[in-house]
Parts: sequence; structure tokens; C-alpha cells
Amino acid sequence: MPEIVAFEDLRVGQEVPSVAIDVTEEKIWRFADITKDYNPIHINPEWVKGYQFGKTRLGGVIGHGLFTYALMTRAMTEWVWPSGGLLHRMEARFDSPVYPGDTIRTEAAVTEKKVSGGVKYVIVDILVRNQTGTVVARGKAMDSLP
Amino acid sequence: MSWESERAQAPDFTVTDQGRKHFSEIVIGEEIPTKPCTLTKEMIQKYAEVIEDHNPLYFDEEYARKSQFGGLIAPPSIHALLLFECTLDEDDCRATGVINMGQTWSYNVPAKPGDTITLRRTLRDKYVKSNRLWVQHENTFTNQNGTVVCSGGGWRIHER
Repeated sequence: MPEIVAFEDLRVGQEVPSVAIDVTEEKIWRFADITKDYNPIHINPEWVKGYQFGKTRLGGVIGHGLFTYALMTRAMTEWVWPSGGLLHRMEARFDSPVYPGDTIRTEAAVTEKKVSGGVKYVIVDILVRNQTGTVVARGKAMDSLP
Repeated sequence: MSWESERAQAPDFTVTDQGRKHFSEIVIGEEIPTKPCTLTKEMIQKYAEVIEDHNPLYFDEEYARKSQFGGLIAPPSIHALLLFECTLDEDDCRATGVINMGQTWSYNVPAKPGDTITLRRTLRDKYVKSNRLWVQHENTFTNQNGTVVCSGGGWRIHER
């Protein structure tokens, strides 16, 4: 059973349960296929081998930024929805490519609580790291609780 | 058919790229043509499976009916799917080699099975920074009741 989160009991610095996903080339393809985002940097290993982006050579297909973003939103919805809460906003920046073979995991913590217009908002900072500890994405979410 | 075989038959964006507007040709504030789409329960559930989000709000009608949403909903990030459903082949989102640097989205009401979704899409900004071509779009997805589902967009870098 998911833990029920009460606004009054939350404290700044409190950690939000982590979620993770193992990234594979097949999963990247499945995301491309369901979203119809067939950018070759995600699905064409031969094309991407020769692709240089500025000074960066990707070397192989990479995951979609929105695949990582979906994990970040999942961390929030799994946390607040069972308590009757809502996700209002998510900002994310993608710092490093995500490759097949990576395991990416969220690390999130409450940074602010505020009441505005009678709504109880919770601000959460989120990092996503891969298995080596490299930050692949970072962001900020605004949730509310009843 | 194996997933590799499916992938080998995917649309080739490097071919459909021909004729797409270059960075120098796109105009800030320009409204971009879009098309409505209908979001089905199957689309939502397949998307949720792909992102490995098994929340019962996407799958269990009885559970969802008792929730704050009153019925099945889609994951918030369903706009990843809606963007390509609601845009035309020549849309900039299909440009090859584009790198997604970030996303910001505001969520108003969840998308639900059976919703007819329309998209208003504009070019919010473009600029050159660190010798790279940056493009920002503003997207607003609205349901059949005229209610905004979500709005936002990303920062993307295009090839020179």
C-alpha cells in the first residue's frame, strides 16, 4: 500500500520515494514507437555512429529526454496521488545522455511548503542519476496535497 | 516480428526532413498547423506500459472511479505522445538530430480515454547560444470541453 502523505506532517528536506528504470535499446524503441518520435538519434544505430553534435559524438542511440521526464513525473504521481494530491508543474533539464544499459533512478526531496489561495503546495527538487552517479536530469516539481 | 525488425521499418526522418524549414526560416510567434486526435484507452495503457508506470489509475476502472479523478486517466507525460499525434509530418519536432535539452509543463486536468485533443502550437523563441541553434515552442493541449489539459514545451538544439 502506498504511504499517505499529509501536508502538515511534511518537512523541508524530507525525501520522496525513489523510482528507477533499466534502460535498454528495446525500451528506447518502444518509447519511440508509441510516441512516434522516430528521431534517428534514438532508433538508428548506424546513423548515430557517424553523428557528431557540436564536439559531442554520441557513439550510439540515446534515450528520449521525455522517457526520463516520464520517470520524474512518475516519482511525483506515485507519491501524491494516493493521498488525493495533484502534480501541477514539472521543470526538467537534461544534463547527460541516457544510454542502453543505464539504470536511471530519481532522488527527490521537499524544498518548500506553502499555502496559496487555500491550496497546499509542495515544491520538490529532483535529480535523476545513472548507475555511475552521473546526473542525467534535474528538475523541480510543484505538487499539492489536500 | 522482432522489435529489431519493427525498428528497421520505422519511418525515416532523414528522408522526411527534406523540405523542412531551416532555423533561419522559422519565425518567432508563428502559429504552427496542427490536427486534432482522439486519445484511446489502448493508447494510454500502451504508453503507461512502455514507461513502466503501472499506476492503477490507468488500468483499473473500479479503482479509478473512486479516486479524485473519477475514472481512468492518462499519465501526465502523455503529451510526449500527443505532440506527434497532433502535429503534421513537416513539423519541426520531426527534425533529425535535434537534441532535447529540457522540458517545462503545467498540468491542469488529466487527459482521459475518449478525449478529443487539440493542440495550439507556436514558436516561442529561437536564438544562437554557444554556437548552437536553440528553439523553444509553446504547446497547449485542450480537450473536447475546451478545458486545457496541459501546456508547456521544451528547449531543443538544432543542427547548424
